[in-house]
Amino acid sequence: MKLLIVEDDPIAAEVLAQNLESLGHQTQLARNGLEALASVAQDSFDVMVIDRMMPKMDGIEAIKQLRANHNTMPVLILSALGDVDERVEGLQAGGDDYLVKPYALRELVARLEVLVKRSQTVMSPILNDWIEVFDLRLNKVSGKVFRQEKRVLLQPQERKLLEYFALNPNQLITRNMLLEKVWDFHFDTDSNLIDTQISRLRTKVDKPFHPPLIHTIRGKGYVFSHTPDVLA
Amino acid sequence: MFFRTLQTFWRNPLKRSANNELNVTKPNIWQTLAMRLAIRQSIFLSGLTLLAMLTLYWALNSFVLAQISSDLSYNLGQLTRIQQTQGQASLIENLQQLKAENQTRGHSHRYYLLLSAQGERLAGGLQSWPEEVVLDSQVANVLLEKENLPLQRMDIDEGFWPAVATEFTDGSKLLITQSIDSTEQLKDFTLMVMLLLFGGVTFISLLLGWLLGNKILQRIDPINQTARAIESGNLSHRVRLPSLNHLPDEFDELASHLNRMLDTIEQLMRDMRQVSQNIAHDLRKPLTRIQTRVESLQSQPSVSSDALSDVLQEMDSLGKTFNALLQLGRLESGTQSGVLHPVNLSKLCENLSDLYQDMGSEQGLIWVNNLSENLWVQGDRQLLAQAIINLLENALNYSHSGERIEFRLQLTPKNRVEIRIDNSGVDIKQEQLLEIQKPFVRLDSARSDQGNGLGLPMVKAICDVHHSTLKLSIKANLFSAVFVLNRSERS
Repeated sequence: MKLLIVEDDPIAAEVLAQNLESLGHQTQLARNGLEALASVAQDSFDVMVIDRMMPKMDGIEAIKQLRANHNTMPVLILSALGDVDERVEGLQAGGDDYLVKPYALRELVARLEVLVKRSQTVMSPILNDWIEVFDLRLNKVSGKVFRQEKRVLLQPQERKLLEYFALNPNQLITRNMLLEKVWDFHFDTDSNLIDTQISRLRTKVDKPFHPPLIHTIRGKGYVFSHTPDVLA
Repeated sequence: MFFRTLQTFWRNPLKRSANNELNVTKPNIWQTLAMRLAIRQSIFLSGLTLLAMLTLYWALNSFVLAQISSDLSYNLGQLTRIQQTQGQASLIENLQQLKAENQTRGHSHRYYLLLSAQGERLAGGLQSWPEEVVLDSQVANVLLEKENLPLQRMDIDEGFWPAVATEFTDGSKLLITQSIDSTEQLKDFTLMVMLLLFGGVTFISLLLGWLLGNKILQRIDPINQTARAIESGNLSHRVRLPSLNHLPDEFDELASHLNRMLDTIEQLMRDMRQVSQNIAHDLRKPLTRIQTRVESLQSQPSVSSDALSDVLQEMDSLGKTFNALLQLGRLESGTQSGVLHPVNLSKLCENLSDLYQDMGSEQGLIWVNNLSENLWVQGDRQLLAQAIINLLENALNYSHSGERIEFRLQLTPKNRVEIRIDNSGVDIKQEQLLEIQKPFVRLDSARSDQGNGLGLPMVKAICDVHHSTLKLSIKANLFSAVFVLNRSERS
């Protein structure tokens, strides 16, 4: 993907750009909100990673202006400001996701890929409230789930979890992403809470069928896919 | 609490720079508030005394003058009657008799003058008729000069004397006047007494003020001494309390408050040092692990991605500890106090219990839910979830197979909402309950070394944000964590 990195700390920006390029992405740097808006006017990008506190024009203001110009480019805010209020402010300004520094590169990349795929509607299609992906069908409204045309009975939270997977197939999904998007908990937990939930979901969705859809990527997270080595 | 102490430590006024130091030296007695108040009061009192005395002086004076004028009027009335009933000869005789009496009386007072219609002097001691006299039988002050006064009494002063005069039907005129020497003396005497009293009152009130100022300085001095000692960095100093042979007064109260405050501050400083050491210790462990792992990677020809992800995981958990410390700091310093909104606590608790029940049953625990429905509270959903998760994870961490965890949400009799998490099989002593609410304190009986030791301090801080208190109790291996929140209408 083609990224615009907006960051006033040259070292942080350079390291991030190098890391992303080594993963095969194209990057361009901007040092503040004004430069970012100028770059966006000249070129198009798949996604923007933007810091909040920058000279001349901060990240929030830049996103507001971007959205005021009807630009729907996905934006991920990468900031040291991590309070709930600050996240809410960032998302309300028009940010699509929020990651707090210090961050893990794999977390950032996973989130960026989800954002880009979503904006390019490579997401699973939704037809008459039915999400269809691989051999799974899930109704967003009634909550009915079928796999290989067999009814699967799930608890509400399990259904929400499965729905998130189904909407983002073949993507790395980190534990933090699940905590935020499925349970709306914006804080760290120490336990293997998510793993327990995943294993509960697996016994209902994967065990009775073949092939398994939910795969664990060690030290990274999960992938919902037909083929376990999709990320390799 | 710990962060508050840390912050106060950084802004510590123990070593103030020279330029912001208030240059207060020990005040001398005249600069004390007590002395200044005493002086102000004595000036006020003296002024008041002076005013009272002046009033008295004026009243006395008026009274004497009124007395004199009424005497004069009465005298004139008498003599007029004699003139009318017994004739002028009798009046002259009377006047001569009065003059003789006057002479024997020494310094006195009343002088007469009777003039015929032609202006001849018929009787009386006065030499001549003063010009200003009005013949209206009314007492008035009249200037009597030397030439008016009797010859034989040259020692009396001229001046304004009260006088009364009338004209009889035959055209003769009678004047009566009275010297004011004795009244003047009375006035002088009164004035002198007044000045003495005024001086006395001023002196005594100044003396009392000085004594008071001294006394207060004496009481404040030990407090100041202690403050100076503490300023110079010695926190162990305390205000010396005098042996109480008197009833404790406000200074004793102030001193004992200060002492208690200093005790608290000293305790907090000690706690803070302890906490800093704990932080250093707790962060050193994962740092060491990372270092050894990286060092061992360095010596290998090629680095496997699994080995690197182990290092990254260590760093992740280190980052989590830092985040938790930061959040704890924000919560405790009140910067993340947040606005409280109505939160459906019943739903939140159901979700959380749903999440953790499985983990509990995997561990072979008996999980009992007792969650009332539809309870809403004023709160911050994220923080409340975090607090409950911390308590539930604690319960899971400290319970062994076969033990029981009970998760309760219920209304109290006072219509507030109580969250209670009980778990059996906890080996902790009553006196450890306070200890485990401090950062980085972990019990040996923890099932795993997961967790950063910031869980309970976080719950405590979150309770503070919600104006609630975390209550921990232990009764025969049954550990309970309870906090109560204000109920709200559903939004």
